[in-house]
Amino acid sequence: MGVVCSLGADADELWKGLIAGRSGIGPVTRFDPDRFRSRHAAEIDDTRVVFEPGPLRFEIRRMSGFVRYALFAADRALKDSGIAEPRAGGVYLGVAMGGLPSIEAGVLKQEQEGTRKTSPFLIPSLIPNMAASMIALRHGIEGEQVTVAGACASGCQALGQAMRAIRSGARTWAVAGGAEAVTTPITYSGFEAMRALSRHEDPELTPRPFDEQRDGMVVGEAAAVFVLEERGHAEARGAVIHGELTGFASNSGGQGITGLSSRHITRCMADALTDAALTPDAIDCVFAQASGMVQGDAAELEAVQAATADARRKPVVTSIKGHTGYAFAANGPMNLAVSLMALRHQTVPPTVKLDRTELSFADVDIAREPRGTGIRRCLINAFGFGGINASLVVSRP
Amino acid sequence: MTMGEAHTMHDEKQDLELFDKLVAHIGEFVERDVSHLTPQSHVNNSVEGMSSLKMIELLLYLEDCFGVDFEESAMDNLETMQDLEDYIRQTLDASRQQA
Repeated sequence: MGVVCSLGADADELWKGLIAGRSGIGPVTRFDPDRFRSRHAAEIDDTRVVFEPGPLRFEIRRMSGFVRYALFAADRALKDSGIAEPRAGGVYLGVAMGGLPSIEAGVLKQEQEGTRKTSPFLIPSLIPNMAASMIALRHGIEGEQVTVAGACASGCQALGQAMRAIRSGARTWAVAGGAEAVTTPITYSGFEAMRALSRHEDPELTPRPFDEQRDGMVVGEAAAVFVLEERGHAEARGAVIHGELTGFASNSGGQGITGLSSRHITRCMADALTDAALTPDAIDCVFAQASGMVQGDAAELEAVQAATADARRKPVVTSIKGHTGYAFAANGPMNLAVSLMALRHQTVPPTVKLDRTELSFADVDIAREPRGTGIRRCLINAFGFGGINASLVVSRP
Repeated sequence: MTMGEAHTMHDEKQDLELFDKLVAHIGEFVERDVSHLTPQSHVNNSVEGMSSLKMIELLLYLEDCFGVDFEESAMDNLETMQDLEDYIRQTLDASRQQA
């Protein structure tokens, strides 16, 4: 797997940051945020995003952040996988907002310098498919190339689509995941208008998933990319197997166009469990979407309560958004990366910045500290505007 | 040496300096050694990995480097290094005269 986010440039760094309770949230540096009430972000340290020699290095430098980060993570994932024959693979990538920073910069440039100064790389750098396309082109992957634009469920849906393609026999292996990097003024003005961004002054106190004082999300940048492979194929070549995706479900249903519907989320989680031939008792940990938004976090916890109402063992619930911010399309893939690390280390990472939940969720077991426990299977949630819900089940190899 | 000969030598020196600058800026742009380029070199064929998009981006880069604007109608005719050098020199001369 390959990961890059505000806590580091690989899964081990991410994991160490999570277990240490480190927050990757800090002041926005990509632009002057003074005009906004929300001035924090979980930005990637670009000095860590260094590419090894290979094709398209010139073009990579001209790509929007989500493309570079996706490609960086994919390079790592493919190297980690040891796949020797790339042609037969596919690429399935989730991207929600794509090259928003490039669009904004392009508009400003043409207004300030005239239209003829627009780079011919502007459009290729920002179209959402370019993350998947650059991965395929750089690595010579010739199978199916799919970009999922399902808002913040995109990455989770892309992983699910890849899993289904492998299950169906259409593919033996695929690169899959999600990427997002939209730390740009238009993101802040748009989400601030929706009252979706946290206004806390102190980055150490925000965002606060599940906390009764939560007041919104903090924009995060991230990419998490995996090589998914048919189990027999992976075993035959002696690959290191980090975990097994065993269930996926996605459905439609929200509260208005941006709110989450606990009823639909409950069904989504239940369908993912059914797909994995599991009952709710079998899930040890839920890696929640929980962004720190008031309505969304409550709807998700209600759904967890409903989905596990009859379970004898209740799962531990956790959210990494207090560490990494809200990475939109990369939310689900980031949750998968952390799930795989949790399965490896048999530890649930903490939900940081959580002081107290609403009384109605007092019965939900939320990890506040790193918790060593037996973890066999995790449920991963990711939900997007427009009522797009997606859940994955990942098991120990 | 006549005044005319001295003037020609001065022009040749300036041309050589302009050509060297052009090669240096192209090298910066593509981030590789392009010292093999000669006035007869076709930029598209002689620089490894060149593409139609890179060519347009290169011209925008050279505009900033030399403080010139490449007319869109002229862009299609800029094939060789000599073409580029001539265009830049003529544009610079014209702007000097206007000044």
